[in-house]
Amino acid sequence: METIGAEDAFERLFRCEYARVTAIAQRIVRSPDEAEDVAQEAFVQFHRHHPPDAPYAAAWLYRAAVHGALNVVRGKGRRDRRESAQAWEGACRAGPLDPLALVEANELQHEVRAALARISPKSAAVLALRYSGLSYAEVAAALGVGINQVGTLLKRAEDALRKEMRHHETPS
Amino acid sequence: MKHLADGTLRRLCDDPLTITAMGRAHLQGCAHCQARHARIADTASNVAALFGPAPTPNPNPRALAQIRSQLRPVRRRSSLAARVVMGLDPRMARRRFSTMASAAAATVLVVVLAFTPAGSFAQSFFTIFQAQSFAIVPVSMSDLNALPNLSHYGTMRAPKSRSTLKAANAAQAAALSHETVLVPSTLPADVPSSVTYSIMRPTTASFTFSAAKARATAAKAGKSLPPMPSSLDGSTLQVTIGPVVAAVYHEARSTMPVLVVAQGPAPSITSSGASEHTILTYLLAQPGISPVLASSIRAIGDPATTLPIPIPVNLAHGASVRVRGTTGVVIGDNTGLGSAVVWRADGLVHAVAGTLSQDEVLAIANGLR
Repeated sequence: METIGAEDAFERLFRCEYARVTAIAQRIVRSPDEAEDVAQEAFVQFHRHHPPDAPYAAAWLYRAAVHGALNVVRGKGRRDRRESAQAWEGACRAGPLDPLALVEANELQHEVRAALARISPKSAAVLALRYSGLSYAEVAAALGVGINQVGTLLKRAEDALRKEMRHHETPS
Repeated sequence: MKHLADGTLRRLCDDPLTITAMGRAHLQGCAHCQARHARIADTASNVAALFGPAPTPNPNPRALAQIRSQLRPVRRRSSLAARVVMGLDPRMARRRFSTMASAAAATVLVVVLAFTPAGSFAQSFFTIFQAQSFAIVPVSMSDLNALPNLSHYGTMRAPKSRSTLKAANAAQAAALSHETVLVPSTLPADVPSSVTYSIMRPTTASFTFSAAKARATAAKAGKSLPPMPSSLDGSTLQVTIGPVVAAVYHEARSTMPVLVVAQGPAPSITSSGASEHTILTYLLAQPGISPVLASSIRAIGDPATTLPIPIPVNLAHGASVRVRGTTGVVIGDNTGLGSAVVWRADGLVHAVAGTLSQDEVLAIANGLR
């Protein structure tokens, strides 16, 4: 039976974590609306199966956001591979503040998301979590690994992403 | 000093203060590590450029209300489902409850005892548990914490160290374990080909009940415990596991497993005196086992052949699955980052687990040769 205390705790959890869970999802899915759908589903699933004051709540929600977002992207099919290779080369040429990079940002991120869907789920997870602003300790908790493993996972994931985007370059 | 690990060099890009003084000194004097660090930093910088700044979502102010609206109809469905299962179809309810209770009963015996190695005994034992099938047991940390601490009820005996051998390949592992070692016929593209074989030699753990120790523990805690039956006092349980062969697939420069393929004889428990019924009755009467769970377990038929697989409800889920023509159990991380499948065939328990999807671990399992 639900109690007022449990509902209060769930609301507190929502207030603390909803924006962050949405941000993690938005690293992977294309639109803010899709990210909110993923975040809300994560909270719904958490509410159904877990006590709202569980100490693992935030880590669980972060993981669920990554998984839910990857499912959304995978459901949309694979992206055009040549564009992926071009996006990687563009990122290598231009720094993050280059005007051309900013103009192309939307398309670039679209391709990054597609590449995230093609690499291993764990690599995609570590990238989405870290590049959503989570600390090494938070990434470690979300993935259930030791903090000393995060650097290794991150390096491996970055190599995988780079390889994935280069791998699909179409011979000219 | 050895060269710095990739992970250390990668973290150095984000947090220069994490490196030790020794590591920093090595880096300053090592051209090889400096070159690797430059490459890693370059890739990290390019990936950061690909991702751009972290999203700063502006959440819908009605989000909480929308979540609550999604929860309401499910609660009604759950309630209806509960009525159907528990009220309208008592046959189904009994079957479901029996499976759970059977697994829970065996959990009390196996989970508490199974993974502590012990010395062997030259006594006459009879088998009270032999794994024939599997059952999923959802557990929470409070469930696990509530299990009786057996060290308060007797003496555990175990060898001081677990004996593990290494093998270079499957054939050598087979020779060392005296088992036919199954190997994957195909692997997903992102599973590395580097594989290490480990063989855990057969291990036996034993536990001898002691009424005097139980009384002393209770007196020290200022509590009273149900009296230990005379047939249980001095009786010894023996748990036998192994040999277990595990093939661990990992990246060439890492020991972190991506895939583990394991096999070994089904674990068994034998008793030198007390029957399974006596042991269960006594253990289930102990503090920490809820009366509802205890009475449910007492009501079941034979929990002696079901190997329970505890699934932590906050982290994973499990389901029955057909694998290699038999029924096994597939376990999935709740977020899909890892999966495992376990099944029994020809007297052996097999498992395939990794940071892979359920479909991938099942495909590997079905492709073992």
